[in-house]
Order: sequence, then structure tokens, then C-alpha cells
Amino acid sequence: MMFLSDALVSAGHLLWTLDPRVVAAAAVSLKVALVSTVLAAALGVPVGFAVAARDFRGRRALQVTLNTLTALPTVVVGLLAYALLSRRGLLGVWGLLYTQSAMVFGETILVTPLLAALTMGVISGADPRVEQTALTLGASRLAAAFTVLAEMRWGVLVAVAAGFGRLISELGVALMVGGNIRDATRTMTTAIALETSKGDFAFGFALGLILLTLALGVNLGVAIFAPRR
Amino acid sequence: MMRSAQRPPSATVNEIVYNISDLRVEFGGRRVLDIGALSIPRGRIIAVVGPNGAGKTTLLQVLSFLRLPTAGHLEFGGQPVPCTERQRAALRRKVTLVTQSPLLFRRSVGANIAYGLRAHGLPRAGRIDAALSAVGLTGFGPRPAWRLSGGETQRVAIARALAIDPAVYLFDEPTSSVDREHVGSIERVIAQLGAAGKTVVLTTHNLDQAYRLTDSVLSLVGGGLTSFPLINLLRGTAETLAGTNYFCCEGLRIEIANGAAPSAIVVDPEGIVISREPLQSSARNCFAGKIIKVESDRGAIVLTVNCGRALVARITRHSYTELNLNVGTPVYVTFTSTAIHSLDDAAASASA
Repeated sequence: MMFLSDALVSAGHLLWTLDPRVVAAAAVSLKVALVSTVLAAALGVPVGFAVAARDFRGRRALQVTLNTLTALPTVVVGLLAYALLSRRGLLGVWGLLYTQSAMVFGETILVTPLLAALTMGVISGADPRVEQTALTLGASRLAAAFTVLAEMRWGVLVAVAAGFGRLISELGVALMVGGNIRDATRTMTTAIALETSKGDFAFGFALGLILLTLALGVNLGVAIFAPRR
Repeated sequence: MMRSAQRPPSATVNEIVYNISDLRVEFGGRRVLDIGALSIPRGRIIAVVGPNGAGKTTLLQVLSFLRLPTAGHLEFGGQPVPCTERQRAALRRKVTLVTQSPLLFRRSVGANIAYGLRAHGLPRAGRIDAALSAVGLTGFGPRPAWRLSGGETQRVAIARALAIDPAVYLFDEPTSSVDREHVGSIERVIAQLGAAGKTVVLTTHNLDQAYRLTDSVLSLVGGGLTSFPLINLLRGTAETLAGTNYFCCEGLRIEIANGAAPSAIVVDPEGIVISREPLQSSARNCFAGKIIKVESDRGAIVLTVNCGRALVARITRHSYTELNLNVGTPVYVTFTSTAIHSLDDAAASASA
């Protein structure tokens, strides 16, 4: 067990001295996860909202599909994104493979259905009186729908935070379409995988601690800012 | 349909706001509202009373254009209510509904009132404070709406409706969760709306309130308007004797359905059987009395029988002549518990 405690001490040292490799991996992870979360929220929240709030043909099927897609294995999404972005793929001409843009592309595909499904759940749980009250106060159907979204804003925010949490700790897509290129597409998770395989546990632990701290920070933020019921 | 107005008619009284004919609302094949004909004139305050599940709330939802009738005809301001959502949205701005357990948006009290003003394109200046002071909540503007008590919530919901100043106000049990000391201020607000020429339709379980506050009282039972609005209204207390539920009032002990504990009941005049001899039937409510009044009403005979308490019965002209009845004739008044409609405040708050 000595190597474990030694690794932890070394991890502390790496963090304390702001080791450039650690900082670079953390920066890439944060950037990719943040941009992907914003894009996925912009796509997923409206879809989830529409599925929950409006009745249309094929709604049930879409609900089932979205719920199924939340369980997508990340390597499958990675494979799909790889196939699309590789030189022979449909989007190969963009030349994005092994770039941060490719990672954002893959991560957005991964987490959009999750955000849609979570938003759907949040909006479905809204008090039906919200829409009715908005209508009796003279709001149009569209304005009333936005009022429902506004009333459930904390629930939607928690959903988006959950999406961010999934992305920051994501490995499959990042590895397959990012390529784990140092200082370019190496994220915390791909770095941990690589360094652990090389026997450098300290580096892995240092990044693991950052990941844990980030997860804690996001959850604390939601807990502090979201009003208590 | 309406009882005659108790107040002098205003200049606009002849205008009809709502005109309903053969209107039906069904939920999953079950008929919850079935109104043959109803006109609501402008500038009147109208109360709708009736037992729980009578369709009062559904009627208000139809009148506020939140729910489309399954069948029938509904006119607003002389025009048929349109089918398209866009056109109905314009109509909804002329009406507002305050529900029995109103919802306030999760924002400040002032922002809740501002919501309606924004939707109506009205300026905020002064309106929020004026509306709050009308319901006795001066200075509540900055408070978070989710911290209010049930009664305060109901009063803010009424203030929110007052601020947008529509032509028609629909109130579903407006004082049901307001504490006793503030009921008066809500009733004053409603009376002022009437005086200002607004049309108000309110539902209530409080019959005193209905008669005190309004020009007309409609009674809704089983989704339909009854022709005798709350005749044979009896106030008293329920008690159980040897496993049977009774309602005791003014010297009468009336058997009612088990489990009910109403504070008032209405005996349907059409459900009363008049006979010369005591009836041998399953109906246990049989009282001896004397006819004190005979009237003719739309082809039927309306008898008032004094059996300790005056009860009104509506019988056919045929039975009237067959039984050879007249003022002073001793008769038996018989009715089953199905002719009794319970009206009670306790049940109303329990179902809220």
C-alpha cells in the first residue's frame, strides 16, 4: 500500500506546483465540457421542453427514443463520431478528427439526448396550474409555455449540471475522436488512462482529485443557488 | 333563468356577456356539465352554488375559455366563441379566472402582479400597489410569493386579477381559504367590481355569501342548472343514531346518505312526493303537514307544505287534481335521500 500513499503525496505536489501537464489536461477538459454542455443545452432543452409540453404525432416514440439514448455507451457515440469525421466519413472534408472541435462534436451528440430527457422529466413534473394561470392572466400559449420553463428553471439547471458532470468525466468519445494528443486533445480522463497504463499513479491521482473537486463544486453551486422547496 | 335583480339595473344591463345554449362538457365520456340555456348579462354579479362535483369549476373553465365545450353553443359579447387558438387568446384577455387554490409564480408578489400587466400591455405604475391595497396587502410587493400563507396567496391572486382590470371576473370559491377577518375585504372588492359595471361570476359553498353578494344565484347539481335555486334550503347538523345518518334542523329529522356531514341541505322540490296517507315505501323521510300555499308554475303545481318547517314540492297538475288538494289539506311529504343535495363548507375544504 506504500505506493498508494506515495502516489497521493506526489499528486499533492503536482497540484501544488501547478504542473503544466496537469493544468493543460484540466484546461482542455474544462473547455471541451463547457462548450459541449452549452451546445447540448441549446439543442436538448428545447427538444425536451417541446416533447413534454406539446402533444404531437409520434410524441410517445420520441419519448422512448430519448430515454433510450440517455443510456448510449460512450464508445458507441465515439465510434459514430469517428465514422462521420474520419477522412472517408460524411463530414471528413472538415478535417476535424483529432481536434478539440471533433471532441465537442462527439460530446454534444452524447449528452444532447440526456439533457432532452432530463428536461422532459422536469417539465412533465411542472404544476399544470402554471400554464393555466398564465393563460388566465392573458398570456399567449407560447408565453405560457415559456412561463412553465421559467418556473422550472432550477430543475433545468440541475439537468444541465448533470450533463456537464457526465462530460467532464467522459473518456470514450474524448479518446476516440480526440486522440489524446498532449496539450491539444489530452483531457484529464484520457491522461489518467494513459499515465496509469505507464505506471504513473501520482499523475492519475492528481487529475482524479481535480475531477472530484469539480464535481463537488458543481453540486455545491446547484445546492447553494437553487432555492429550497 | 335568473332571479330578478336586487339592485337597480345599470345602463348596460341589457347587454349579454355570455350566452349558452345546449352546452355539454364531457370527460372521458362522462358528462360533467350540461346546460340547456344560460345568459349572463353585463354588469351583474352571479353566484353559482351546488354540491361538490356539480360542475361549478368546469363551468368557470368554459367561461374563461380554458376548456372548450364538447358540444353546444357559447357566445361571448354576442359573438360565437371562435375555434382558433389565436382568436380565443384575444378573448381570454377580456376575462380572468381566479381558481380555488390559486398558484403564484415563484417570484415576488409584485412580479406576480406585473406578469398579468405585461401580458396585457398595461403600465405597471401604481397598479401593483393599488391592487395590493384593495385586498389589504399593502407593502407585500417585494415579498417572495412562496412564503405566503394560503389566505394571503388567495388574496394576491385576487389582486393579480384586479390589476389587469378585465371586463369579466370569474372567481372559484374566492374566500374558501381566506381567514374570517379578511373575508369581508374580499366581499367588498367583489361588490365594488359589481358597482363598477364589471361582470362577476363566482362559485361558493357559502349560501349566505351567495345571496348577500350577488344579483342572481344559480344552482348547479350534477352538471345541470336546477330550476329551483336552493328552495328547501335547510340548515342544521348531522348526527348518527343506531348506524343511520340524520340531518336535524328546525324540528325535522331527515335521513341522509351515510358518511355525509353537511351543514346545509337542499331538498329537490321535484323529488318530494305528496300523498294523503303515509307512503309504504323505502323512503324513510315522511312528514305530516298542511298545505299553506298553492301556485302554478310552467304547467306544474308548486305546493308549500308546513310540516314544522315549510317545504316546497313541485307536482304535476294531474296529481294535484287527482289528490284533490287545496290550502289547508293535511298531507304527507315523502322523499328519499337521493332528493337531498348536501351543501357543506367542510366537504368543500376537504376536497380542495
